[in-house]
Amino acid sequence: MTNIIETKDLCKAYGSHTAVDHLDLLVPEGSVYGFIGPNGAGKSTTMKMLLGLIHPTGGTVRLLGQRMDARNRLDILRRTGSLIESPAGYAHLTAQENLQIVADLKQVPRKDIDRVLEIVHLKEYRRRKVGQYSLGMRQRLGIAQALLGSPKLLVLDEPTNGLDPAGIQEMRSLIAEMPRTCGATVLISSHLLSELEMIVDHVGIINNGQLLFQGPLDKLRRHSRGNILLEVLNPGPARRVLGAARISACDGGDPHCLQLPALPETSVAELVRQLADQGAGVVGVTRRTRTLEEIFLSLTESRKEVV
Amino acid sequence: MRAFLAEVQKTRRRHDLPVAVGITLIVVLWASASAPSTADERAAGYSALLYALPIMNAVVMPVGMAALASRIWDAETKGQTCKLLFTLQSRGSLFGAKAALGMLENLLVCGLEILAMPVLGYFRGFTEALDTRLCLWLLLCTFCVNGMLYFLSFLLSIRLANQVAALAVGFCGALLGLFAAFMPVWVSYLVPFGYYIPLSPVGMDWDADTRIARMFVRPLCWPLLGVTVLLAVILARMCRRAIEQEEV
Repeated sequence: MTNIIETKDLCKAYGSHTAVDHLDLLVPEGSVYGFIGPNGAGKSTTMKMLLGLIHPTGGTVRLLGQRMDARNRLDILRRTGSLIESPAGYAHLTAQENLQIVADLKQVPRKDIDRVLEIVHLKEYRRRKVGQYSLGMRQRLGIAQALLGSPKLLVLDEPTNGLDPAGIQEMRSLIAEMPRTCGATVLISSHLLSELEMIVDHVGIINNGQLLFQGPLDKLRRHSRGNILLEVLNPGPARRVLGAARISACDGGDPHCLQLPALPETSVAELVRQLADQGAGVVGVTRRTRTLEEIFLSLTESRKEVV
Repeated sequence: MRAFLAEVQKTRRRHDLPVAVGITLIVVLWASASAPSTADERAAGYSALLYALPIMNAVVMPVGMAALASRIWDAETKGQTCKLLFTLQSRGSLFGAKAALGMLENLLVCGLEILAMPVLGYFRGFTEALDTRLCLWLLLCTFCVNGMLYFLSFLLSIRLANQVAALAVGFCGALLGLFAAFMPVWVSYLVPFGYYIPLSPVGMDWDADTRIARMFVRPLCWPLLGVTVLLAVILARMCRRAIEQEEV
């Protein structure tokens, strides 16, 4: 799989403060890549550097297979759509007129405006002034601007900011479908990790300007095992086995249900064998799946590099 | 050209044209109200008009140029469009397009003012022949001073998100410029807002004893015009740099 975004040792410092620290970002083509991190982690700075809006203090950026520099930047960005922080739009103009300006500057035929308005469900409001739009409609207009010209890459920074639950859901389904409907790779950042979890297939976790993890979401889940719930008929023998194996267990009120810490698969298999031998009566072993939010919090709090 | 056409599209419903026409209209109506009325005065009507217009320009144009410049940049500030535009066009082309649009609006203001002169003369019954050369001279000087003030206001609009600042500076500048006109000549050279007056094509001799005013054609002050153009160029470069350094 080729990478549509590749950064090498990307750095940005503001005086003595390093906002982005030797970042090697790899975004595979056709993926929806969730870029997550706490406030001030360096997400927006990274995204702005990818778009050439701010200059890196070090490192390189490759977009769409080309190393980006001052000469080819606009050519590359014409094949890229972006929505950074808040949607841009001239309040005194209609959605149609706003899109015409973007289409002309992007050198995209104006007939493409109908297509993008259709995608973001704004076709019937095209002649309404943007100043009269709700925030959700403005966000959708921002997405429409980004989609003009069928870009290969979409860079969306907090596209659901300020939206109500219905707006978030709408935006989520819109973004999730983009690789299929538009053939675009999506790099998206958001604070709403539960929302992001439903649409991304790759994640990058950044904290203090450093990448703590990047790769497929499944891989992150595999590396971030959840607790194990052990259900037994005879808690006594079970506790003896666990004590001998130096595994701490808590029952949370029900003596037949023991909560164990995360263990590797081989250890779980061995434990089950021993429990069966000692007559603990194993009824069930369940591994609790950790949410992206839990993984994110444990990673950013411990600041340990997983991969 | 693409960037300029985009700028023109942005003017839709922004009422730039009525603002530009309105600026000229204020000057013309003011000039009309104070136009010569007696037969003797009408015999030197155009000279009086060429003398009065720069003074009126010194009062109206600094605010007018601030209004035009701030409208042109305010659209980007309010719409938070810079971060989008900077991915679609070079920052230099954005500056170039806005500068070109501003100068076009400036030309419209100056042109309308000059075109209004014969109309005013006709309705006021001026008997003096209109000197086209002096009109072009006034047009050139007004355009240059307006241009300088446009870029000053534009710079303030880029640097300060609150567009009232540019208007306030324009308003204060207008008062200063007018005040400087009644000071010794060298003082008026220190206040660029009032350069309309020392660059005026017509001067006036006022004889306190006879209480007779005599209009005369003044030689064009090329060094001051040069300084005006130089200031305009410096301010334009500062505007370009401000856009290039604009944090998004």
